[in-house]
Amino acid sequence: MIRRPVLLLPVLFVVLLVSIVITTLIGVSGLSLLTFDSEMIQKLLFEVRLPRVLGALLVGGGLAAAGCVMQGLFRNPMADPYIIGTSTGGALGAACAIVFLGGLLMPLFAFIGAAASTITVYIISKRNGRMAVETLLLSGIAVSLFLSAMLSFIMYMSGNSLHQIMFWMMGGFWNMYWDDVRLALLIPAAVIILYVFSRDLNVMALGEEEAIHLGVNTERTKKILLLVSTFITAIAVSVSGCIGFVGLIIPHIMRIFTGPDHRILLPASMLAGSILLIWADTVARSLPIEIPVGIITAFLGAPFFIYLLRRRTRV
Amino acid sequence: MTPIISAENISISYGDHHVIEQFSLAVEKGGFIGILGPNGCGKTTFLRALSRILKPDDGAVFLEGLDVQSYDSRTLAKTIGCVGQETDVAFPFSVREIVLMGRYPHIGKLAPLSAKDLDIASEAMKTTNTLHLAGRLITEISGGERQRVLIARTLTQQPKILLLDEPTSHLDINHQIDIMELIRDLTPKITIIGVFHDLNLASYFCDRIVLMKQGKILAVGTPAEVLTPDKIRESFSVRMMVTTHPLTGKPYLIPEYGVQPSSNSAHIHVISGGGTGTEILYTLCLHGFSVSAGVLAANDSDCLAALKLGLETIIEPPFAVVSDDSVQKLKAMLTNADKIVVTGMPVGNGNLANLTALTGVSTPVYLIGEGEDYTDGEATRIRRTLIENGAVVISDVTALMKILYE
Repeated sequence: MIRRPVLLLPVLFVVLLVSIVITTLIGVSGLSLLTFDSEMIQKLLFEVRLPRVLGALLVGGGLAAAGCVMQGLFRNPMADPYIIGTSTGGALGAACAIVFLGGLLMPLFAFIGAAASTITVYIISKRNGRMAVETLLLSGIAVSLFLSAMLSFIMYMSGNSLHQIMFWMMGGFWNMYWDDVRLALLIPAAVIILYVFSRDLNVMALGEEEAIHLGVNTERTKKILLLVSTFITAIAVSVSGCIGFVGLIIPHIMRIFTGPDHRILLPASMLAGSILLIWADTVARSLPIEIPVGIITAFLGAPFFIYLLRRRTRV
Repeated sequence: MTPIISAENISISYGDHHVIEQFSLAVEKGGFIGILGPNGCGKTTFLRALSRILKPDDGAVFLEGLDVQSYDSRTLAKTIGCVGQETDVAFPFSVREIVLMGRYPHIGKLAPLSAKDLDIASEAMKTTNTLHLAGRLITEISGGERQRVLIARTLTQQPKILLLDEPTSHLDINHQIDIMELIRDLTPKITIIGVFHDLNLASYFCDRIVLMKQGKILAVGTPAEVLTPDKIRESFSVRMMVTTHPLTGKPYLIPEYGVQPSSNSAHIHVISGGGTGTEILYTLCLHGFSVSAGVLAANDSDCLAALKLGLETIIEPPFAVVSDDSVQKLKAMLTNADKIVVTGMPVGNGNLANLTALTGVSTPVYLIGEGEDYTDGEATRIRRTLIENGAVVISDVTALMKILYE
């Protein structure tokens, strides 16, 4: 018999709440709760740390949810939120802002880059009103390669800005303010739309034609899921750069525990993505020199994933 | 009665290649329709047009009188269910989860499954004998089981029409029959339209056959009307013998495997009976020997084979004792032959003359096996004499061919 854990979601939710509290209280600023200057503490906790924690929460949850949907949609375990060129487009937009505008409007440029590259891929792969996922995947790779050539060129010519671009590309939350958090609040709204389609995603795991036989309007479903996931990814990229690993591995890890039913898998992935990124960011900012959070996620997550793979045969 | 589903003059092409041309077919409610034809003749394409996966370039498909294009996807899924050739499920869902997906067109996006939904799924699993698999993973069950699970999922849709695309193509014969029986038992509640590749299974199970050739209908009718040697040859470009299945009385097709008798080699006479000589006769013909046979009773299967192969054959009426006339013919034939083969046929007083005729013939004799003796030892005695006089005992056809080629 197969176990489908009912308790997993509440447990993850509690872990997330506890994580928010603990990580908000941890930091390298030298201040601790023993300090008496309450105004200072308040400013540090609510103006610096809390937005960072909430940003990591929203972005991590969004990326994991988008990755989960992309893997289901493409029926491909290697799919992640960046699979159709979203990250390269975002990076190119951000690099342009850094090099040409001195970093001004960088989130906006990153969003435009991410959205524009995805829409390009979508238009390329649409034929006779239908969109084949295989074509989508390949045109995603082609567009990515083209954009990354442009990105390399800009980086090569960027001189002093190179470090800044590199840092941005690896992703991080050092720049998180309440404005960014407010923007990132669009992510959970979008995840709700994804969740509405979780039963459709289950049926689409049988293959597109089977899904049509079962009454799924596959063209419309694909379009909506793709656009919403891309929207989530573009926002994530614009506020925190290209954080890898979360969107690829978290859905896999959760699938081990929940099975493939997206009605549980999707919220579980979202919660787990939030937890992972909150802690990864806490580690990133607690080190002597702040390093990009993407390095931490991969550094911690990959060995854990390998451990799970070895322990359980079923992924 | 208006047909439950009909195709009217549909044409479909992939690029310049016309897969289906001017195709019309009306299917009455409750039937079991088998679509047959060689690979690439458009069977699957036709099925995909019925299920609206493909939109015909010309013409239309009508479902219960309405153009199928006018259906919304959920209503269509509640009317037509499809089982494909082989479904590869991307993620390890359990069998129960897969079957319950059949409820998709009946329930809302976020609505939980009701007790009624669960009952319908259980019922479908009972019908398909998959209830014991409910907790297993779809990725970890056998091909035959998976096909039954997919049928259960389709039944959970509660369709009025079931379309099947070679549902038994990857299965062993026991599972093929299993699945076909299961499908047949669904009629007449559900109308079945299936593409099949096994002509004999279709002949037995379907009540109407649609025979196709290059995107067109060659014949429609009962198996007996459609499955004739001429029509099969026209559709599949292969020669088939059509007999009657000894048990079911339905047409039974046997390929002829392209025999072309020739007479450019040694003349071999075969004495056999009761089916013991059929393979030898066939093999000798295949190798181009000039073959004759007899004496055989007209209702003996060796006799039917010899006639079908176009051999010179001495024939007696059924159940008659070999006549003197035939014995004379046989003796002449034996003297003219280069070699004589005697099979391990059962010998009784009726066909004993076949053996007695051998005594005193100088042509080399080969004995393959020894059959039942119903002549109080007379036949055995003759065999022994033959061996004493130089007849060679060999084990089977392969050994015979070896000797003939030495």
